[in-house]
Amino acid sequence: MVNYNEGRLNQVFSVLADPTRRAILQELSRGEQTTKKLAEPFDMSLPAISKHMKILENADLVSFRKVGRNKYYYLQTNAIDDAALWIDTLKSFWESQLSSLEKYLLNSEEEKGGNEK
Amino acid sequence: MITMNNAQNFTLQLSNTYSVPTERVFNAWTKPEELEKWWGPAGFKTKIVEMNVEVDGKYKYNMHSPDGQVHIIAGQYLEIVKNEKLVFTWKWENGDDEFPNTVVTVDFINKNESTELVITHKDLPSEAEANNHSHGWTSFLHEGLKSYLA
Repeated sequence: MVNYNEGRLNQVFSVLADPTRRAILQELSRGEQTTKKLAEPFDMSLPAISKHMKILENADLVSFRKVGRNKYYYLQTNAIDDAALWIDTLKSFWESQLSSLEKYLLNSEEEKGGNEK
Repeated sequence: MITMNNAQNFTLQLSNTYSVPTERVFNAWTKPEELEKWWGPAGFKTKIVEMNVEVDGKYKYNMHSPDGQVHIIAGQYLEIVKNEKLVFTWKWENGDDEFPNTVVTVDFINKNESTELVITHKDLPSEAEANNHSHGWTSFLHEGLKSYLA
């Protein structure tokens, strides 16, 4: 009944569960920004921010363009065009829950039947 | 079905019908030893940290994904009507205070020998949301990103 993309669920949960990454996305929603600028409000080292950027990049939430030595990050609109990313994830989660429950109820029904014989 | 009521709220509703009596479905949701056996997507293992099925009672589940991550879900029961209805708050708790608090309503509808289960997941009513979270994730998604895309 349910098509459940586990990889995506895991990825989205872990990417968005981090407040720093959400704050970075929020900052980028105001326009593109360099890693250095992004690091400023967080009191974090550049490598630490770069690590977050890499994770966001792998999740297709951001991209960058290079200007000289600077990387300018911007939000990936095609990923975000699906503005209900979070809700989609939640939907897949509940769909898979409904399936798991179905499997459980039907299996224990069989066991019950078996015991009665 | 997904409905966007306005910029801040959403409602997600799903249903499924099971060919077992309503009481069995209700038990699967309210008895820890049963819930632990099915809760979580395929491949996940759920460990119940607490589950106090009474009004204002708390629950907390650790969901272990196949690749070793732990997703923690926690909340509080708001309404319990035996074999009919279950309402509880819902919050992902991966060390994150900002994730919006949401409410899940589960309706158990008796249809002869079958049971229709309807899950409705929505934002907290906006007053409560405003008290608890000034920067909900959904409001960010819907306002921040929309203004970016505009």
